[in-house]
Amino acid sequence: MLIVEDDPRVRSALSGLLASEGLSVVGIAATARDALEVGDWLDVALVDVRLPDLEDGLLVIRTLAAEGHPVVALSASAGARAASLAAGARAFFEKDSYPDALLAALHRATS
Amino acid sequence: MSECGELSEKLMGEQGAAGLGVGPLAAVVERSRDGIVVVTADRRYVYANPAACRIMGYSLEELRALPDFLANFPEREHQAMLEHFAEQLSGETGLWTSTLLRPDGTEREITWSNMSFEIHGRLHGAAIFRDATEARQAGRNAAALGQAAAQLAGRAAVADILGDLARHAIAGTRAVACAIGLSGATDELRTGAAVGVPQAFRDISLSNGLRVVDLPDGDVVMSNRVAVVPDARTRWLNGPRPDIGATLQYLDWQAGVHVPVSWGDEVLGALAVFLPSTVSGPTEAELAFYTALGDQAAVAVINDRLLTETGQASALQERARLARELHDSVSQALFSMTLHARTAQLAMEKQDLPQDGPLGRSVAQLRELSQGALAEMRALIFELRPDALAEEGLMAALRKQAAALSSRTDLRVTVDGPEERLDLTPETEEHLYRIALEALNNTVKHADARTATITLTVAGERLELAVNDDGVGFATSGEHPGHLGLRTMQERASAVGGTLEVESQPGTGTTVRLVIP
Repeated sequence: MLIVEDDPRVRSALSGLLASEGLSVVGIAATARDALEVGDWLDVALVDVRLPDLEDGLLVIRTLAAEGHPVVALSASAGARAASLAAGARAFFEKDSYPDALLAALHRATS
Repeated sequence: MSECGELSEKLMGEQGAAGLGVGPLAAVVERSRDGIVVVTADRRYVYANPAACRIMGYSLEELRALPDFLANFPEREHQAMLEHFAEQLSGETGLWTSTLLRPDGTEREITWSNMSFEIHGRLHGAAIFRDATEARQAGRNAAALGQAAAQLAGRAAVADILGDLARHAIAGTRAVACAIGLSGATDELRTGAAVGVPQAFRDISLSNGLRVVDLPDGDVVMSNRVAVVPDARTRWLNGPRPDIGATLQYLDWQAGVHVPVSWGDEVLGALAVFLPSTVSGPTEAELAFYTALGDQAAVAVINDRLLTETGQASALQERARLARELHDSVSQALFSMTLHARTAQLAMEKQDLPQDGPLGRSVAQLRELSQGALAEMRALIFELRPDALAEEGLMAALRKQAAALSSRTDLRVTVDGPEERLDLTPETEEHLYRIALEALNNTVKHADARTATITLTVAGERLELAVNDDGVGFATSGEHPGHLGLRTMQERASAVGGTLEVESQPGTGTTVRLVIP
């Protein structure tokens, strides 16, 4: 699993949660550029839609999805849902939802 | 040769003997545009040239019949004139400003110089003067405009500036009254200032639907041109607003000048000047001054508008900045806390640690608190962001508020509606959002409810928004808490072409229902 998230606190918390759920985190990226470099060998990517080095994470979603990787989009804004799904994300998780909803979305994406 | 001319020739004879020549010198005196007078030591006129007669408003014969030249000055000037005259006869000269009193009671301001000389051994005084009334008035008017500009720079209230402009119109010209009206969101005049007009005119003109176009020659003003209306008083009575014209009948006036208060092509309002019945119309200088006052009024309005917009823009920018800060700092930290709390719960499960033990309860409480704080923070950020509703949509906004309210209060709020973004205008979304929030606010404040549900259903063109609670309810027929908010909700419902009903009875809960159309 690849986590693409610019906030280190969130990256760390996500890593811990996913690890405790038995999901293997093989890559962590803080920027869209890093994400696209490690994107070749992942099975699923969890991508924050708002990234600092590009207009947003939609490019990452679009690129990874085009390469056949399952992507779950993550955002604090519900307004990003439609664009994320249109870019190819299989699921969208809003950051104020319960963590279990995120885990369920990741399991669905990898199944 | 005129009477004045004969006398001047007689007077010039003394100097003519000195070789200057009688004819040419007499002509100079007679044709001078400056007034020239000669008086005896006992203050009686012996000569005044035509310019002096014109400025003073008397014929030479009338002047010579006056027992004392002090009759040509208002009483407040007498003491100073006597002092000047005494100095003059003792051989001193000077340059002065004074006020002349004309036989019709009007006053003219003059600048003058004086000297003394002997004719046939008798001491005489002479004065050369010019009418400075217009020049001095123009100077005062320029100062008034400068004062208005200074008020603008000092950010005085628009109403105060307009009031001062109206006062300047009266102080600086022959106007008996002046009113400035500014159009509101509709074409109707809503704000402004008036000086010299009856109170009834003030009361009606700004509150009873008067428009610029309703003024006599208002169409001219609306096309951004100044209208001089010689029979304005009559036309008010026979125009579209005789009720307002009637309030002006107690004012002694006849002609009017209507100046557009405009910015570019936009006519913001009008400046109306009321001239006394003895005056047929404004002078060129007065017209220019009224136009300048109208321009100043427009600058005041636009200045105020820009200041307001700037203030609002600054406030919006500050709110957006605060929202970003909160998102990047507190919100992300709270989100991380919810993840850590859930991670801890999962770890406890793996280690077979009881979730209902002391550690399990603490972690559960921590998770609940952080999840609630996150919901509140998201709702706060949403409220702070000016474009949040338009960006995220009505349903997302309602869900955020519901989550925040649920975490903050004992009320459990659920939202039931379409997942996809609704095809609504931003204005409609704003009204629906505010109606739902107001209804929820009433539930929290007055209903003592345990649960509330926001339901939004769309079927074809029909949209229904219902906010239902299981609280104590109330009798809708009587006065009840939250009735002021209800009025606002109904206004919002009307704005979106819908109807709003409140269904409630004591003990049965309350449903606020909006249906469009």
